[in-house]
Parts: sequence; structure tokens; C-alpha cells
Amino acid sequence: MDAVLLQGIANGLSLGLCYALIAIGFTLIFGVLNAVNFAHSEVYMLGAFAGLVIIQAFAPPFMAVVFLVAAVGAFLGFGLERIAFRPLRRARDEASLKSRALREATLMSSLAVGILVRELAELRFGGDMQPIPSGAMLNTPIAVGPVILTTGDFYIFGMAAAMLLLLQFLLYRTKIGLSIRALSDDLIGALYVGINTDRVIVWTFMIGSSFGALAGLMVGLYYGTIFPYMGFAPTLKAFIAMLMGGLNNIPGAVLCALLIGLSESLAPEIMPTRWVDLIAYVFLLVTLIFFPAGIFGRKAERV
Amino acid sequence: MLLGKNTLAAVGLVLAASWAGGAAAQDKTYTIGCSLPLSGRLVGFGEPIKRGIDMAIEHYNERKTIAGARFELACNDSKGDAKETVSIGQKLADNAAVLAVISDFSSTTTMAAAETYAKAGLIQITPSASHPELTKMNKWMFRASETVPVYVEPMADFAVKDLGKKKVAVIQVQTDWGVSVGNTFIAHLKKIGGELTTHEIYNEGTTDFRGILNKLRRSPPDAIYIAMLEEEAANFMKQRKQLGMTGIAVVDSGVGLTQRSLKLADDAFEGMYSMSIFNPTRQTPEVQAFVKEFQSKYDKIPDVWSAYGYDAASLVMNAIGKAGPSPTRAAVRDALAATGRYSGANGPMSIDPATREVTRDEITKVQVKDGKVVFLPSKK
Amino acid sequence: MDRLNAMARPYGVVVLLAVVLGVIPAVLAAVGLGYPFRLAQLTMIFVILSVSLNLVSGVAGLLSLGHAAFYGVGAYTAALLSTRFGTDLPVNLVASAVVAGVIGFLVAIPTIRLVRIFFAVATLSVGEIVILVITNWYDLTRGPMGVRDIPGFRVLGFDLGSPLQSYYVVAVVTLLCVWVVHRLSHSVYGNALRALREDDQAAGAMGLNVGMMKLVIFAISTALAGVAGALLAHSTNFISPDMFRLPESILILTMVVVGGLGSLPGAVLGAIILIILPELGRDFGQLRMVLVGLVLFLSILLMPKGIIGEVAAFDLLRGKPSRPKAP
Repeated sequence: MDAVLLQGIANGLSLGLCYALIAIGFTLIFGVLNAVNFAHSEVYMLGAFAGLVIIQAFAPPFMAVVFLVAAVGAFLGFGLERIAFRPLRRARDEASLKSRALREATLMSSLAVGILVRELAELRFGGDMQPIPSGAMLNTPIAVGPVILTTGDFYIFGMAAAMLLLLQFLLYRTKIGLSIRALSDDLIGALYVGINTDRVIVWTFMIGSSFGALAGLMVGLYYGTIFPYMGFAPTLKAFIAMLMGGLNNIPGAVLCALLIGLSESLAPEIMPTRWVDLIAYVFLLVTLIFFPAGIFGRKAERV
Repeated sequence: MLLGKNTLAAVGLVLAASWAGGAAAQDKTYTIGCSLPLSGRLVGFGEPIKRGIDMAIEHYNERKTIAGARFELACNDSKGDAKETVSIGQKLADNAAVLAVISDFSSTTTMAAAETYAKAGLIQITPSASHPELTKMNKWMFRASETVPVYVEPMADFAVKDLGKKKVAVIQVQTDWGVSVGNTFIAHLKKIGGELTTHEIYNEGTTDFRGILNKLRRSPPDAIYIAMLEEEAANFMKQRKQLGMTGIAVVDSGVGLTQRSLKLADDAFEGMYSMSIFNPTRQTPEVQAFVKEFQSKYDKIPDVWSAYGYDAASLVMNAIGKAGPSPTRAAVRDALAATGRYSGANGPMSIDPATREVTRDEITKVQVKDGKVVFLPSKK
Repeated sequence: MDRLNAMARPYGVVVLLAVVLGVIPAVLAAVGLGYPFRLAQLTMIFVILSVSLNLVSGVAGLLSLGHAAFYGVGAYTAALLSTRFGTDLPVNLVASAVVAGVIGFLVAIPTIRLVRIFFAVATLSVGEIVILVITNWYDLTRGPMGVRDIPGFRVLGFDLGSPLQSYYVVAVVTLLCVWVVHRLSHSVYGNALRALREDDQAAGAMGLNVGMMKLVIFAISTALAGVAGALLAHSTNFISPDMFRLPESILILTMVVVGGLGSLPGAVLGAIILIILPELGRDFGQLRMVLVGLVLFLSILLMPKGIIGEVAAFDLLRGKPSRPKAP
């Protein structure tokens, strides 16, 4: 294989990992409530801004930034659930908890909160990209044979792997994980066996949002593009990856995110670059039409 | 006692009113409209332009450059959104006090509002948009900036003749301006015997250019010409450095390199060539006075955008002055069209009375060295 | 009481017509001929968009996030026809409706059987695809430059381009569109759509052709969005792809939600509020979008049924309470 193609594959995997990083938290939250959290892109954006502010103020070691941003993300998730999701779960009966109306209401309320947060961030920081302090960027090149990777690629890969492992541990080895799985499987059933659903939902939001904030931090520092609208495009791609992967399937979403990244990176070889943005949407439509349950989905579910 | 106080206050009020009235009789206040991206992705251009305009107006008001005239700015945030500029245009056109409007930063937004201003018979002068079609649209459209070929063709000459880079790749953003710059460059490149290796167009808002960069390696160019806005140029250059492609020279259109993008790109701009209409070292009294005044007011070296804003506002105020004691919109238009030669913050330029096109005597080539913009000596 | 309401109904229509065709233009003309008229036209265009989206998302319960794309298709159809072939408004209106409706129909065939959020996401993607195609199909659409110098309203060779004339053109078309939506949503057909919104499997079991009904209503809705696009093209004289992106779709959806999903007067009111409110706040500059977000959030939280809920809308339009009043 020639070096250009190899480099293209490397670039694609690195781009796909960025999408995957967002998709993990997104899918986790979707799994529990079966509701789309449109404010995830704002959590992602705020995570990046929080990291930037922390770096500018204290310049702590990178691991410290990671933990602080994760904490900020968890806090944001807690607040988001309180503001945009919980008030709409007023009724406790089965019909309204499962109703489409509730899902659409939370979709809209998270969308509204997202708009609010983004606009307020623009008022506070301005709409333009923030300069990253010299040395904080994660893009020092590292040559691996003919291919050039960067420190950020390894960091992001490590972060994604750590998130997946942590999730595996949380979901299958802890009590809260058991509850999350129970809720994701059957909300009403979980309610009947006495699980404190509100508490589990809050936990899920906190975990999912801290993952989202970390994704924003990593991708923001990798590309050096931190601005209020930074969340929209990548979160949409992550969302598409989640749908392609089969909604509740986190490994499936990660694989599809890599697929999207690879296609976007290699496509300029065979088509004009300006059409590359279409790829993810076409993927989505093809998936929805031919694999309504997602490529890796288990069962056809009516959501 | 209470009554006395009130009476005193009333007398004071009357006095104040008569004083204000007296001042108004001496100085007439004229309003200049303005529509610029003061928020959103293009704020990095809108803000410096506004600073230039503010400074020009303050300068004219303080020194009473135009006798008996005070100027006021009615500025609106267009967010770089074409729809907004149309709404703003309509609003300013309705305001009878507005004699001319400085609008807008980009070619797309400027063109969007053209019809609105023409219908109202109101000058629309763009401080910075450079699309060649602009002033052909209607007779109310003016510019303080030159057209695309004025600064694109010399850069093609520069790349091929001065730098000796015959094989050039062109990467452009998909906007009115980008299309115009890209096509002009390619046409001129072919005319002077250069070779186009790759021509790539990307959609506005792209952040990952690694696909394009990687593709360039299929037919390696000697130089890359980029028609990008500042943030995109910064990302592009960072990724070029990251992929170890610093061996290929980059020639910028002049829009990618700003003080902000220089900060955004950290050290990735090193060695990049660009051009500047504005040259703070240019030895004309107007340029030197502008630099000095700007530095004392904002405590930094001005850039081309502030100079554009300054020139646009000055041109308009001069025209209002020439249009007589009670200027109408039409009179101001004719006065502005008759400006002819003008020497401002961006150096000398002339406005063609019929086509309203702007020509410049020279443009300055620049290069980024050690994180600073160095003005290359002009070869004559 | 019932008789009184029944008598009030025809008067209501007369009053509405009098206000839209008489009072509003008179007031606007008193205020000024430029900006207020432009705002009024924009509001009416969004009324069409809002009521047409309400047909799909409110009455039939298919959440669409791509409505602005069909609005764009209509605008481009009218703009290209009138700048290249010099066609008149009636031709352009029909062409815009047909092109947007046919594209909507074709898009709906594969996506309509998707349910709920899948449909929302599919329409979102379709919207992005349409805009990307418009942006990059340079030869046809002039790409990001948009189309300029679109002539004003012209009917049978008569120029109706003055602010007042344009106002009447837009007002008449809007009233027609609202009437069409009214007839569709407050009829047996509308009730059938509501049935499949509540439970499409049950509706299917009752003998309704669920798939076909969804297809047709989606096509009608997109055709109406096309009409709105044609009006926009001729009233602003300039269009560019940026005007029809996702934020615009979200704005239209917000109008429907704020007014009340499934409620026709609600959709009209929602459009009026969400166009006028940010305009009043123009002096606050950046706070405008914050305002939109805030209105959307508060209305979902505090008025989940909207300003004029579906049931209240029935009461209003049928002239009698649709359910017995509590004693």
C-alpha cells in the first residue's frame, strides 16, 4: 500500500475516533431514556471551554485538567437533567412515561436549553475561535513508519479505550450499572421492582455528560478549534453513528463512527472535496432504509 | 424655598436648552449607517473595521474636518447573515437621517442588500468586499476596497516569477469571494505559464483539511495558494505542519493572515507568504498619521481591516462635506462618485467616476517570520 | 350560547379578512412604507411555513426537522424560473409548489415508514443534503452566491412590486394557504390524520391506508412550504442557501410548538410571536436568539399544549365546546 493511502487511513481513524468519543456518552444517555439529548453538543462545547479556562488560569498537568473537566461535565449533566428532563417526567403512570409526547417534549426542551447555552456562551466568549495557549495543543507529530500520527491521536485513542473499559466496569460490575441496564431494558419494569429511577437517570446523565465534556476537551485541543458552535457538526455525526450502530449499542456506535471518519478522509481521493460533507447523511439514509434497526442492532424496535 | 429651587432648576433647563440649540445651529448632525458582523464567525473582521470607522468619525468630529458637520454612526450587527443585512438595510433606508451606509464585510452579504439600498436611493459602500461584480450591480454601490484581480494576479506573478514555484495547487472556500479569487488565480496562473496541480473547493466551516492535504501528495505542488478566511487558514496551516508538509510553500490570498489567525495558528504560519493592502511602514503622511492615532487610541498596530473601515468612513464624510450645506442622498452619491484620487489609511487609491472601481498603485507582499508579519521590500 | 357562537363564526371570518386586508396595511402605511411592510410579509410567509409544518408534525404527528429545505426548494424554483425565463408569479407559485411537493413525496417514500425520532433525524439529513446540493450545484443555482435580482411580484404582466401591492399579494396567498390547511385539518381527513398520530397500528386496523396518508400529507405540507419559498424569493429579491438551513427548520418547529401542536390558530400565533418578538429585540442585538431559546423552553415547560392548545383551537373554530363543560 502506498504511503498516501496509509496516511489517509490513519487520518480517517483519528477523525472517526473523535466522533466515537462523542458517540459514547450520547449513546449511553439515549439508552436509558430513549430520548435524544440535543444539548449534548453544548456539554461537549462547555467541556472544551472549561478545559481552556482551567489551562489558561492554572496550567495544571494534563491529567488534572482531564479530571476537572470530567467533574464539570458531571455537574453539567446533573443540571441538564434537572432543567430539561425531570420537569417533564411529572406523571408517573406507564402510558405517559412511555409516550411519544414525552420523548418529543424532552427532545424539544433539550434543544431549547442547547440554544440558550450556546447563545449565552457566545455572549460570554464571542462567536469566534479561541486561541489555544502554546504547548496545550495535542498535535505534536510522531512518525510511525511512513505514516505521521500525533500525540493527540494516542491521547484520544487512550481516552476512548478508557471510557469503554470504565463503562464496561460500571455497567457490569456495579450496582448503579445494573440499575442503568435495567432502566435501559425496561423503564416501567425497573420502576416496578423498586429501582429509584430518578437517581439512576441522574447518574446516567452525569456519566454521559462527563464523557461528552471530555470529548470536547480532547477534540478541541486536538484541532485547536474551540468556539460556541463547535458542537453541532461533530455531534450530528456522532448521532448518525449511534443510529447506524443500532441505538443502544455502544461498540456498534464506535465502529460506525470510525467508518464515517474513514470514508470522509478517503473520499477526497475519488470525489471533489465539497461533496464529502454529504457522506454521513447518505450513510444515515441508507441505514434507515435498509437496516431500520441499525447495522449492529439486535431487534427491530419501534422508537 | 421649594418654589425657588424649582425656578432655579427651570432657568437652568432653559439655559441648557438654548445652549444646546445654539450648538445645533452651528453643527449639523449627519448619520452614517453601518452593518457589520459584530458577532458570530466573522467577528474577527467586523470588529477591526468598526474600530477604524469609529476612529475616523471621532477624528472628523474632534478636528471639525468638515466645517459645521458632526457625524454619528448607526451601527448594526449583521452577524454575517445575508438575511440580516437585508433587514438592516430596510431599516436604515427608512431612517431619513441616514445619508450613506457602510455595509457589509463579505461579498455575499453586501450583494444581498444591494437591491434594498438601490430601491431606497441610498449609498452602500462596502469597506472590504472585493467581488468584481459588486459595483456593476447598481449605481448606489461603492467600495473602499479593490477588486479581486488587483490583489490576486500579483500574487500569482509572485509565486511563479519571484519564488519560482511553477506547480501550484489552489484551495478555496465555497463562497462568492472564494470562487472569484480561485478562478482569477487559476486563469492568471495559466496565462503566465504556471501549472495547476490540484484545485479543491471546501464548504465553509470545514475544520479537518487532512483529506485535502493528503490528496495533494498524489501530485505534489511547489506551492499552495489558499483562498481561506482566517480561522480556516489557521486550521489548514496547523494540519499542514502536523502532516509534515512544511516543505511546500504556502501563498495566502491576504485574507487568511490576520493578527487573530496568527495567534490561532501559533507557529504554524511560519514562512507563509501573503499580501497586504495595508502597510504601516508606507511613507505617506496619511498612513503614518493613521498608525499613530490608532496606536494612541487602541494601543496596538492597526491592520488592513481597520484601515478599510477608516477609509470607507472618511470617503463618505468627505462626500457629505462636498455635497453642500444641506446634502441629500443623491447629492452625496454624486459627490462620492466624483472623489477621484484619494489617499487614506490604506495608501493612495483612485475611484473611477463611472464604474466606481477602485485601483491601487501597489500591493505589499508579506511573509511570516518568527511569528511576525514582515513586509517584503517591493521590487520595481 | 351555541347559536351565538354559530352566528359569530361567519362574522369571525369577516373580521379576520378586514383585519388582514384593511386594518393592518392601514396601520403599517401610517408607520412607514419600508421596514414594517417587509416585516409583515416575512411574518405571513412564516405563517404559511408554520401551519404547513403543523399539518405534518402537529396533526399527523411526524416530527420534521427539514422543513426549511423544502422552503428553500420552492424559493430556488421561483427564483430560477423568474430570472431565467421571466415567468410570472402564478406560474412560479404553482411550479414551486409542484417541485417542492414532488421532492417531498419522493423523499417521503423511503423515510415515511420510519417512526418517531428516526423520521425526525431522516428529515434533518434530507434537509442538510438538499442544502448541500443547492450550495454545490454551481451551474444551476450559482452556489453560495445565491440568486440576485429576482423580480418583485408580477401577475399577468402587471407589476405589483410596491410595498402595499406586495403586501396584498402575500396576504391573499397566505389566506388561501391557511384556508387550505384549515379545510384539511378540521375535517374527516384531519381526524383520520389525528387517529394515525395517536396510534398508527390501530388506525391501520380501522381500515385507513396509513402509509399513503402519511405520504400525501407530507407532500402537501412540503408543497405549501414551496409556496412560502416562492413568496420569499419575490419579496426579498435575493436568496442564498444559508437562508434554509437547520436553524430555520428549528425556528419553524418552535413556532408550531409554542402555538400548540395540532392547533391551526396556535401555529399562526406562534409564527407571529416568533417573528415579531425577536424584531422588537433587535436593539438588544445578540439577545435575540437567547430569546427564541427561552420562549421555546418556557413554553414546553409551562404550556406543554401551547398557547392555543389543540382542543381549545377546536372550540374556537367550531364555535362550540367539543366536550361537555364541567358543571
